[in-house]
Amino acid sequence: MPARRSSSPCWPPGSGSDLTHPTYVDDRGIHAPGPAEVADNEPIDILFGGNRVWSFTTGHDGRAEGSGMLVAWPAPLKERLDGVAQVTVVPHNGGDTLFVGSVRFGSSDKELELVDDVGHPLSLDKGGRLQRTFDRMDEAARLELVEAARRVLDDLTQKCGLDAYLAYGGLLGAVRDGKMIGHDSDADVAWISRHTHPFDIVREARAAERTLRGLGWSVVRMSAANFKVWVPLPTGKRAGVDVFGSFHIGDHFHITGSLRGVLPREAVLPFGTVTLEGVEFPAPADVEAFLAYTYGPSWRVPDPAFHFEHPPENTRMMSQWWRGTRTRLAHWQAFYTSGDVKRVPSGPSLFASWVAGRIEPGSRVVELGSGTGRDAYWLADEGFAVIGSDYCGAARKLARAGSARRRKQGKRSVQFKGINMESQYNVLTNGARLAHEPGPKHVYARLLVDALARPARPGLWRFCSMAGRSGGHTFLEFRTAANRGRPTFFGPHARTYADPDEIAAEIASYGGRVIDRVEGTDLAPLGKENPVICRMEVSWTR
Amino acid sequence: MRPIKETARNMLDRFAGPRLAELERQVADLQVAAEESRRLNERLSDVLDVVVELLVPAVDRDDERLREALGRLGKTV
Repeated sequence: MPARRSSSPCWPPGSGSDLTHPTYVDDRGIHAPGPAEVADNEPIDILFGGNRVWSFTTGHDGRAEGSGMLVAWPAPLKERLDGVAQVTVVPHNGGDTLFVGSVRFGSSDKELELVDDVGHPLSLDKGGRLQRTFDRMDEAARLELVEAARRVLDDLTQKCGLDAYLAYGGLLGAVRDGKMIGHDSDADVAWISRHTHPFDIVREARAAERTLRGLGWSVVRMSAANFKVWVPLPTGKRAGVDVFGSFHIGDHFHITGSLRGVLPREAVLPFGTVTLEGVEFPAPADVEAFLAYTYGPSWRVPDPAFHFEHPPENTRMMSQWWRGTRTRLAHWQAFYTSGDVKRVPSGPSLFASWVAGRIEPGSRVVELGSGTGRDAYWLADEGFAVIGSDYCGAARKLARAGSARRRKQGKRSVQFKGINMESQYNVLTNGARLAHEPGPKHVYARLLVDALARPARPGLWRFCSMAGRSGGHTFLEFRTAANRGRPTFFGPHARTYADPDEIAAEIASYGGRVIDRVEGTDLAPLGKENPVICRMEVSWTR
Repeated sequence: MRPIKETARNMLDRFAGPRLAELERQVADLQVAAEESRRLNERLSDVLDVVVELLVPAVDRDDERLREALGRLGKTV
């Protein structure tokens, strides 16, 4: 039974006396009194044992339930809720405490601790990830991160020749009080491009990536116009400094992710300076106009529950320019870091044994979209020389961890690579390397056609045709268009239900020949889902 | 009033309906074309990277540099 606060709360703030029950907290979330119509955008903090773990607004995060509202726990937090915590619910910017009491989550009687692997307390950041936010860091740790951002910014300016400046949360904190924002977890920098055409901006970002790598930085591309630089810290941990492209295209100013609006170039250049944690940074010429552009007119009011709410057309446009190689990636990252992944069977699929019966013993197999690695492991156990791959980092992490466990058990380990069918150069370079290696290489792609957005399919056929030049076949299994609208085991997923004839025609246009094709149900049943499946064996040699 | 409204709607559907449907189709086509055009910037840049990085060592028949460039390019997912 959850603890309840004895006195009458006023929730949401300003809702007056029309309360139907007091606020309480349980496994499902925070139950707020009052009708949903009074939901507002006042940020509310949730504290466990005095530490803030999340902030929300009833307007953004609440939904009507009975005569009140439920603010459900976000998935990353919900998965960690097992144990007893002293919970406080309190408005972030002052006001009466709405709930305080001991709450038991799940079935454990142990104290609930939300900490990382070395015991640092965690909270949910603005990106919805459990992170060590700045309000949980001591001054020395904050300074380390800020100095790391400054080193990256110096190399962007001096070595890459870019006009780089402090942006997003770091800039906001610097202008507010010279400190990092407590509920933020990273220091972001940006550069303002001299170019106004997307192609030139992509070239500029890639040149900067190359230069930074040449200087020894570890750089990870996040889109065609922003990247992350991993900086080793004296503590032995590493910090990610995000570097965002900003530019004028047409009449609009843009900052990656998806900010798009009107801001004249004179509001950015020439740079002024701001000080963050005692470190000086270049900053936009008119910081107030810049912050209003970034966060809206109420940027001065602290809001740990802040969410960017980009108009869909802005996000669509920015995604088409810069995130063409990351379609559906957020979906798969979320899936492979969620509890759902535990529902993926650990044993091999029926397709794996179908393929194993058609290829030479011990032959080389490259699996595309290997997910948890379940089929790659089984094929390795059957004696095939298997390489797994997935474009989703969370999937590769899972599969590699599984491979490491197998190695300890004396089983064959499997290598998992990052191969992305949406990236032309990733397809071309990995395809070329594979084609160069002697002997036939088979490509195994189970449910990949379903997972890929349609524009990614040319990359898949290009890769398969390159790999198949020396005689290896391609094996495909996918759900057909007959499954559209039917319920699925994992619920709503981003899927492309393909027409087998269309797939065969596409393969033919890339020089492939379907030498066997099977269609029907009972080929890939999972729980109550028994989809109509198409299997294809494809040869690429004449 | 109602018959007049209905008559007006019917007339609108009859005369403007096909034109509106045609305009909707044209907007949908333009959206697809704009999307493809936007995506081309990154795809063309990909191909350019591969050509720039691999062409010189290929012409020089420098296998070592070629392998190194392939390895470097293939690392970014």
